[in-house]
Amino acid sequence: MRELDLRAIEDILDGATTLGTGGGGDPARGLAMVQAQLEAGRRFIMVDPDELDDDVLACSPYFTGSTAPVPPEREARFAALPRVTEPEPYLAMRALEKGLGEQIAATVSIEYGGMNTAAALAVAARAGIPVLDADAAGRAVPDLQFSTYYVYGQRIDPIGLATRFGETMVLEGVPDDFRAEDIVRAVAVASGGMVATADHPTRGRDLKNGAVIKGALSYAEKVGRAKREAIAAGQDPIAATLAAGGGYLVFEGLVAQDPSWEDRGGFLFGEMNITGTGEFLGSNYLIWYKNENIISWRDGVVDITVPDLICVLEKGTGRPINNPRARKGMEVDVLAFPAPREWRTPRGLEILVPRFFGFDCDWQPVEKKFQGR
Amino acid sequence: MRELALQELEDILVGCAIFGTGGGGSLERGLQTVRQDAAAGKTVRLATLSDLADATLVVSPYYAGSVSPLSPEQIKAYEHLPRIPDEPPLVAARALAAYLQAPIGAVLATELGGGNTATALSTAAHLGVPVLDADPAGRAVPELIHSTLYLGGISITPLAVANQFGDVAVIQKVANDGRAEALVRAMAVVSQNHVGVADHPAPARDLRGKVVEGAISQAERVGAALRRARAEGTDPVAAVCRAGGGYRLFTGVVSEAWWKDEAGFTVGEIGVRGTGADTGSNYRLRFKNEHMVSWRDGAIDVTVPDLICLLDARTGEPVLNPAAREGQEVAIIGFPAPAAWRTQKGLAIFGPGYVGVNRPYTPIEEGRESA
Repeated sequence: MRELDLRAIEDILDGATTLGTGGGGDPARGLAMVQAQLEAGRRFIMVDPDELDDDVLACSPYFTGSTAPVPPEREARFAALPRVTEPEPYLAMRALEKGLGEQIAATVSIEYGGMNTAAALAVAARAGIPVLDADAAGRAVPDLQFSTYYVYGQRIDPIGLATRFGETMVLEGVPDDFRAEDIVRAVAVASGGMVATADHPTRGRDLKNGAVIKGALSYAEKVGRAKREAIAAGQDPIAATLAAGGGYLVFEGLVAQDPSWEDRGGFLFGEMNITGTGEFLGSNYLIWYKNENIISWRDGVVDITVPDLICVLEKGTGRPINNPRARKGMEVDVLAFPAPREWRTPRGLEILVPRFFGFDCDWQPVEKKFQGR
Repeated sequence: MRELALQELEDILVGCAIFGTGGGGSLERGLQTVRQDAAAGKTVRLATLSDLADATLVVSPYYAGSVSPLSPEQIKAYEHLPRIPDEPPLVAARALAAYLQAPIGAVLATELGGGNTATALSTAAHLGVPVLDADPAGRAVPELIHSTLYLGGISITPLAVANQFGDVAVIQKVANDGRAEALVRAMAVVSQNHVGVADHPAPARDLRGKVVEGAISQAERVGAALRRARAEGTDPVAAVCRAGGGYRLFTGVVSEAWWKDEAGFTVGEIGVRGTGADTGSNYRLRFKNEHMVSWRDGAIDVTVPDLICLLDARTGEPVLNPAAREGQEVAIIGFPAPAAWRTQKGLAIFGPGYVGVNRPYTPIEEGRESA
């Protein structure tokens, strides 16, 4: 058990955003959510899954939806509705508890991301329960079924949902995670693009035995801290990130144009084009994303794919670029990290692969590709 | 409290289809439902509000969703999913009871309609509880907020939504009834446009004065009168008017009928050329699922909340939207709306203004002699 101070939280969130593969929600909103709890005097306690009792129940509170900016005409439809002051994922967790008739004892980050990792932290602090040193993806992911819970075989439901208008519901009986995805996404679309979700109520014994990636928040903290310390010492934050996370520099260059994207079916779809500089001069790089970076091509040849991580950072500052916020002329580095081993199991590779997104190619481990490079 | 025989159930549904003013769901399917239930040995009891103990939990089960056809892509997306044996409104009612940790003691029809009232009758039969001799509209209505429960401040939540795949959602709290509808529709969009809902859970004591009492037996009287007139070979339209306290508004032949799907509503118009006493005149109906307003020779005749009903002139059977066909011989009759709709609050949400008619509401009985 460990109490997290603001610096530790910031390191975790920066690491999670860095490893968030372009998605995982808006880090500014995530940080604001955490700060509101700190200002209210609430404490952030992180525990290892192995410290849990077998019979306690944890869940993952987070936001589902598109990270695309909401057009004003769509927002106008909701103008007359009340807004909540509590963090919505906290209300989603309370809705889940009401549906379960049982209290939740800890939260688990559903994915790495500036907002969704922050949601797990803020909800835990608000409820006075610990957050687990764990994550259910070890990256950010676009669809609900992409979690280590799924790989482990843990049911996703019942699911608590809360809108920013204070509306709550509990969903259960879904035949599988794909159905849950369809329904939750539809609720998000009907609620202005986002809905808070609290899902995968899971017992301590399963959390210890593989339902989630243990030590994942410490790992994110290590990456965030290495970057922060490098900047303070006047060193290259990208190099520090690569060393701390065990990643590869796969490209560097200038963003070739403002990214083209669209908000479709509750997801953000888009592409980022990068023109090579330095040792990559004369090459170009293309990244396709569905909320998160899914697949990349160097000079038209497939380079990195899911489940491995494709992360774009601003050169010099090491600031992670969230989709779709790259701008023409930005100097960026593209980093790749090996996916956590849970994704490399047969069941993991049944779902989080390029073919799910309609690409006719198979995953090649990033480290194989870079052997000897 | 009395047990309803199949004949009585059918009379009720025929009457409900007439009071459905063109909407309220398929009478044919409704009749099929109660016949199947009867064949399976299920029985339905009809209870008045005063038959129920104060604390008896009452809920309204119904189907929601759009009638728009599915694309082949959508059909394929649902192919691999499991199907559950029970009807979604029944599943929703059970889920709501489980959430509230209280047994359901009675069912309230969500409106009068050949299909929607049948859902209430069938759900009551399967739950083994009575159906209330009441409804929250006294007719069929196009939107969820068109309900005397809404006017009476009975909360629509918690409400349960279920589909045929086994997915069940309990909506605990909503910002307003419009949002409840939006969230139910969101669920319908990913459920082949077809979900069962159970909403407005309330103890019987809270419903007093907030529902249209006697609505089901009134429908039964009208349905029975129509059946008898047809058996005896007397004028079925006159029999319906007499039994329901209504007015014959027009008789003629459909000269024009069109409709379209507009944001999930069936919207259209029916033109009728007068025959018999109405020769030389024409009549026009506009509907949004249900008939909303009518014109006689270009002048407004009747508007919501009063009931405008289109019947086949020979059989007296209700013509549901959008089934009217050119050349069809029809009679148009009207009934006064229940008192709750004629209050200031009722007219504010379901008066002439709802359909863009910019004039004060004139009750149907003004300047007319009853049948």
